[in-house]
Amino acid sequence: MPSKAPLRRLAVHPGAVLFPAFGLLLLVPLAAAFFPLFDGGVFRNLARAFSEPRFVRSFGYGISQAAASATLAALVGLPGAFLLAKRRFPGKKILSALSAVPFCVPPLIIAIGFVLYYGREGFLNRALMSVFGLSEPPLQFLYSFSGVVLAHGFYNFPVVMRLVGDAWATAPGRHEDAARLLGASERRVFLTVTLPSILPALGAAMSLVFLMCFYSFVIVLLFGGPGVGTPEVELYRAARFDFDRPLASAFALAETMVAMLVLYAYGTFERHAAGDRREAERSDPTGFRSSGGLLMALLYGAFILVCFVGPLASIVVESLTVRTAARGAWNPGLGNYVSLFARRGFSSAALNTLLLGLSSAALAAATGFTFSVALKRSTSSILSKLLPLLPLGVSSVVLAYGWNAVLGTPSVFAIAAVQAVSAYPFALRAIQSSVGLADERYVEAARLLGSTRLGAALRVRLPMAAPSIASGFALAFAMSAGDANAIIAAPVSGFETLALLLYRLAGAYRLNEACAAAVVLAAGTGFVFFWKDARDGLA
Amino acid sequence: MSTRPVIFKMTIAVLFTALVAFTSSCVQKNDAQLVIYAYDSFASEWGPAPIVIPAFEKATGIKVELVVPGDAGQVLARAIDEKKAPVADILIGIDGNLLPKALSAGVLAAYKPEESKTIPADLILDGEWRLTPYDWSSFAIIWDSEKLAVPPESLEDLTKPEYARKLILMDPRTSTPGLGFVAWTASVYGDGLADYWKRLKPSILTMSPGWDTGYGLFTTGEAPLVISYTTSAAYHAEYETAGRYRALEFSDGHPVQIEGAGIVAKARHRKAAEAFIDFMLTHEFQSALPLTNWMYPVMPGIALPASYSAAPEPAKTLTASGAELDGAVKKALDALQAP
Repeated sequence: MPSKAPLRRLAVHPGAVLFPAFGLLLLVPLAAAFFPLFDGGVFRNLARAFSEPRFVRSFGYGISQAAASATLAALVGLPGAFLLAKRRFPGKKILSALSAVPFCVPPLIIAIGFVLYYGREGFLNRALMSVFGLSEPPLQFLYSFSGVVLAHGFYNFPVVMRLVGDAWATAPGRHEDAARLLGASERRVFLTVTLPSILPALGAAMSLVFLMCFYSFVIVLLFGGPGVGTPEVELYRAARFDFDRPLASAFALAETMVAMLVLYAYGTFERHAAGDRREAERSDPTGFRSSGGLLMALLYGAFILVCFVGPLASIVVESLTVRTAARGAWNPGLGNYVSLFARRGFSSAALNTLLLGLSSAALAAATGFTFSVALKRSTSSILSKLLPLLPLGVSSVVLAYGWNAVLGTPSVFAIAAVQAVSAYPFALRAIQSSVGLADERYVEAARLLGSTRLGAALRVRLPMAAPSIASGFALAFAMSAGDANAIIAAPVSGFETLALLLYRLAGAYRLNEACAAAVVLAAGTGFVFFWKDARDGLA
Repeated sequence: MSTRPVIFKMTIAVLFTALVAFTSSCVQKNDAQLVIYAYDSFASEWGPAPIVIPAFEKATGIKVELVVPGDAGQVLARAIDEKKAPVADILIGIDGNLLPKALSAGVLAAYKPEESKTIPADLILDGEWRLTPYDWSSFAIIWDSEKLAVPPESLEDLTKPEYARKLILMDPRTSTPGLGFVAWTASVYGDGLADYWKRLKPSILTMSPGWDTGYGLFTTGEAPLVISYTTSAAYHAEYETAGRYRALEFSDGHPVQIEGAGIVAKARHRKAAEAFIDFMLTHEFQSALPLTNWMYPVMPGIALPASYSAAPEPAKTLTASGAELDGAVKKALDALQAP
């Protein structure tokens, strides 16, 4: 009965349903977003885009700032990765929980935090001015190329810290021991054994940071200096002020092409890193061996505290500041929180955030699990390995525009789809690390005992991967809760989330209340992360 | 044979019920007899909508469905997308700079409201009344008098070295006030625009993506000068003690931003839409604007709140053509980006 075969295949491979379904969730809006490109000829539109001098300049700027930011994030993140992987110390959980920040704190809040802290009137400048008796603020780097790079670098260093830290923790220590036995110096051991083993993870983390900075919008415009442009800005202008959809699509296509190249690099690095994970052995972190090491660690901690935690703390301080006419005076109080909680629509925004986050996260985690099982079995071409990563190279704004074009009207479904698609590569990464390492013998045993492939997946793989699925779910939830881009790009009437409320408060002379909303949002998503980390027992 | 009529009747009954259910569900959908697209701050809880929309419903018995596609640019973009089968009956928030695009796309239909004659001639945006103005304000530089002793008195003053990195602007590619400032410089400097922006560059601390972020930087104390509206001073006077933040009057004159609403071409609820445009020019609607939209009502004789005495009324206003603005933005940005 050959006609039944495809049906049976569907039952056996849940992936056979989920893959195309997820492909549709990604490819349909993407195709719709690029559709206007054909209006008047693809080549003519592309030629028109490339002939704009500002277009080329914007790519130059976008790529150079992203590369510099990724380098800075690597430099700041590497010592942290070492500490997370190899040392035991109090406060480790907090350092590791910082990795939630780039995913869960919206860039607008980071920008406000940097202004409040590094700005001309910021905490740091005021402190330095009063300590050294200066009349002009000493730190003036904020509104320049270096301001952009510093904001991006500090914002994203936890990504490097976490990804490289994970790889470092599981790097096989016996190779290092072997090198030491053979008489290699510690320096030589690091350069020839340790570094190569964490290099793929470092490359993957840096490509990821590059992508996140390449698509960054608020921070680049705010700190980049007058008139600076990135491809995303030019796209926005073409779509919104010139109403030139073909040109906007041309920008989007070129932008996506650059992102795909980086994604290819990311995929390659990840595959090497995953390969290394196969022979992983988790060595237990130790205490500090020398006082020199302890001193270095303390210096690093102080550096992170001053440069990275400072801006975040200023947001908390600002949220606790009740402003009157006299700015600068600090009147501590809970007034901002009181008016925020009393706001009509606050509870429904909180509920919407929860529901939207749960549905996006469920979608992302389910897909992540299916993909991770499928990827483990598949030995096929590079395309099937790259396809799951595709969402990393597509901006959620482009996807939201695409859905708008397809559905004709904005819907909550489209927002959940966009957020799930953007979050799931991260969920996949979290899940893959455990599914990839899971012992195949259990699955084989279940199959030998007569279980179907689906049954084995559900009854053996799923429970084994449950903790990491929870991690992926938590990450996707936090990303979705903190994201306002998709809703701003395609607003749904009457549907508000906390992230959107935060943007609206910031846009209505209510900066302090916006900071309070940010703290509430961060506390919620941060809690999810903390709980996840506690479960993982990373510390 | 006796059972047949029963079945027949039952079938009819079922069909009828289904039909009633179907049509009533359709009616339910159409229950909102006027669909309005408005920009976000108009519709927000601090904006005019919570006051004026219920007032309109009460006065006319027409039910309103308020849709918020985003900012004013998104309102227009959505209407252009839906041009063939319009959903909206009214678009709110099209200003002088967006109007040429709305007109060339042909999304607006003409309607001259009864009270049109009371609107001062210089506030009328379109002679054919495809757009009816409802409020306006002047662009102005707001000055933080605690942080800067001597304020500038003209656009030219802004280029002086003493104002280096003291001015916050908004990006004309992403923000309406940002675009308004470019229009201002274009109408004052004309062909000298590029040169002016080259001289202005050292004074600009940053160009923020939106008015909100830029104005937030200003009130945080990052720079003592920011582009906004003269009526921003009224806001500070209303909620804080007046005096610290002041709108500066420049000798060059000030461009005005006029906001209007229009009826969508081929609107499904044309009569209701006309009723709304008429309602916009009533005392009830107009008097709600100063404290919610922070703009001046277009109709004369509306009493302004006391805080509006803090907003200067520029002696000279400028008109800029929205149609030539694209070229001006390009010139200004090229001047800024030139090494």
